[in-house]
Amino acid sequence: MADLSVEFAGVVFKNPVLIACSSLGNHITKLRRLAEAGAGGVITKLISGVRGPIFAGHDFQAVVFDDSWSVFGDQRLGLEQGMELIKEAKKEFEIPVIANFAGEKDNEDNWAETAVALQEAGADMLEMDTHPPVFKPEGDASGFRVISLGHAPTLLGKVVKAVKQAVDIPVMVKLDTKAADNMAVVEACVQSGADAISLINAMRCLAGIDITKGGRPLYLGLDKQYFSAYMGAALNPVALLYTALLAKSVDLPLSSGGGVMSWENAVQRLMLGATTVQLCSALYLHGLEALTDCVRGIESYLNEYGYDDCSEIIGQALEHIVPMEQLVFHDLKAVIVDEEKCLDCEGPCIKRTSATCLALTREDSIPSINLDQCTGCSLCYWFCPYEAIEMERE
Amino acid sequence: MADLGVEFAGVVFKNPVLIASSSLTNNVRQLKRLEEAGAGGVVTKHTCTTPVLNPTDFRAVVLDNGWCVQGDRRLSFEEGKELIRQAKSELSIPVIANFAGISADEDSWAENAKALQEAGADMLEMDLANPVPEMASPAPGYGAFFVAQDASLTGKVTRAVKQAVDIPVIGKLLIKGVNPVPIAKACQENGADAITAINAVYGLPGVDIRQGGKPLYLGFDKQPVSNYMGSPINPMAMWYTALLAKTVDIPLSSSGGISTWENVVERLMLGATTVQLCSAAYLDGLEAITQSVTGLEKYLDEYGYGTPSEIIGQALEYIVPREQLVIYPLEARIVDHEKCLDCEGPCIERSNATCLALSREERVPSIDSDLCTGCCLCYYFCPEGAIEMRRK
Repeated sequence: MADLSVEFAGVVFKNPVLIACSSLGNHITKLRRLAEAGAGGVITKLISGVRGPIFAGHDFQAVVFDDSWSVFGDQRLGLEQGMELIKEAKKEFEIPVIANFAGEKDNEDNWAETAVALQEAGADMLEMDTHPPVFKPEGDASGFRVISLGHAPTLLGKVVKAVKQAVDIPVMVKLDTKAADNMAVVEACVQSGADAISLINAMRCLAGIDITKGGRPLYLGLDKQYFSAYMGAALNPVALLYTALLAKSVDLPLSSGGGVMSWENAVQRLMLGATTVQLCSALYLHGLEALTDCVRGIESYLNEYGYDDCSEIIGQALEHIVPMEQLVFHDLKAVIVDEEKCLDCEGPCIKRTSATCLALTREDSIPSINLDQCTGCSLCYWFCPYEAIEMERE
Repeated sequence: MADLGVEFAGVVFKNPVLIASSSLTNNVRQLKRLEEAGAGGVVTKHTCTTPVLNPTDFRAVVLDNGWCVQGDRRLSFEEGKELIRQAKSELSIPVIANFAGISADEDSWAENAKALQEAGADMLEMDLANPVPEMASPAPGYGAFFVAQDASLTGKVTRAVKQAVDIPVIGKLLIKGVNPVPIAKACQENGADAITAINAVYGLPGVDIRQGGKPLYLGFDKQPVSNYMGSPINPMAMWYTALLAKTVDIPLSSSGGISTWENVVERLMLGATTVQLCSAAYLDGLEAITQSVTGLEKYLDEYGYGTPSEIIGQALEYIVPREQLVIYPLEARIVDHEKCLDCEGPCIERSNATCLALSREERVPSIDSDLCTGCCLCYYFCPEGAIEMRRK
């Protein structure tokens, strides 16, 4: 039996599946459920070090699409509440508790004080949340643009350094939306002593509008809307990419979240260089079973492929990720390999490629492929429900 | 019957559904199919000055939702001009030429623009996702830096192109790592007639976990960054459409993830004058184009609108900065106990990680309204429509 445990930034987790910062982690009852369902570790809801009224002081509201969703709001925890939650969690279960937190804008003293308080409450690790807005850009009157700490590398570096100096427990920085794409931000984390990076956070979106009601929000509790957080399966390809790019370009261990919906997704994140993964939407949309399935699936996978522990697959796929200049294209041609299977078919290969393919035509009931016109795009291969088409290298 | 015609940056289209620049639009045979299927206009495949970027035809990985693409051979300058000449003689819908110059060299952009105008293009679309090699990121794997990531380069190129031609010029933006608003403003300030957004998002289609993490692509052994497109990027594109419509004054062509006629209506309501279809035609065939156009027409008829212009921007009054939002607390109620009884209980099972309010007593779930946070998940999960969200 494979050993699922991983060491991540100096802390040992019994498996690499953590629960991302969200309202799943704002209450001891929910944390207990997550621990019982098999989480390797939990990350608390954002604990705010800011004194006074808390930003987003209301519970979240959702709009659900197929396997993705969008969320507006999500009440933060005050410092006292957060400390109490960590104390309770540490008393009730064994798995590590990571405190997600933010201080006041770029006030490094407030960030450091908050970090110290959370360490004293018993947190095993800290996750700095860099998405709260810090300032508005000059000359922008629209009110639609705000710059977060996570997009201001110099300020971010200063704050991370202060937090690192204040505590002994490991400090992970959670990148803001799209910040994984900004090397200056990533460098600021590395230079100022962060122990790990988590990514990718939610994307920005509009949850849609009601076209039967003149374009009003789909949110049931809003008459007007701003951008929303976009999460779930749709983010998986984006998160896979930035996990790989960060794993290739920085030495810090990574915790990869954003669109992890299945154990296969989790295995892919590990293969692309993450040491831990963060589950979130899967739990909101499919319940606790998603967590249990994810952990079991990783275990069965390791056993089936003969790996003893997770570390044997971490980063394994990175050798297959290269810069654009090093990409080698091999010419491909689509071939119908199984005419038996093909005969049964209604022809999605032809119908679905009708706008793009000049090679596929139907003579009698069997589609035929004109090899001179086949560009090797592979669409018919993906569309064929019977695996009757294969792509052959020339 | 509604008239679907729109005027976009001075050009009249019989309907607002354009086909985005892609390999769908790289030869005249396909362009004719697109016109026959009902497209309002076509944007030809990127035409560039030699050396031709991406010398190979595209390769796809189709996901459950959306798809990833690698490559997609651009047209050489001669090919592009020839395509436009042919298209103008064989098609009656407007032909928009997507193009770029060399890097951010404004003279080459201007020269190319002129040549495409002479070839007969009705409009130009500057592909601002054009690499500027001298500004490429030193970080391994991160790859190119694009004109569309820098407002001053964008402005310089736009100005030169506008001075060189008389036909309308669109700037096609990128959302990679940057806020598109300053870039769109640079287009506007330098005379661009319209904006296209959004381009593809960057992603990776995944790795083959049964073969040590090799690419899922069939044509290569190693993979770089891919373009991620299709319905999953629809909500992101909606946001950027609304944001741009709120912050710039020139007309918008909205692209990225449009898969249905409902998506078309949404984009128009969010301020786009035209939309650009692409993935839907790759993944669902020509029927996707026909259905978008007929769906739009039916919608306008059903709701009593005479033209698309009556709905363009209609939803923008409901998009406001964060500070102006009013959030009404909600609570879930089971409104139809008859329907509820038939149910297997996804409201409880699917929300068991997040909800403290739902519990089951005998067969009927009950909601403790003190613990209900109004998140709406059970409302979406209920297959029978038995749960309603009420404002407290």
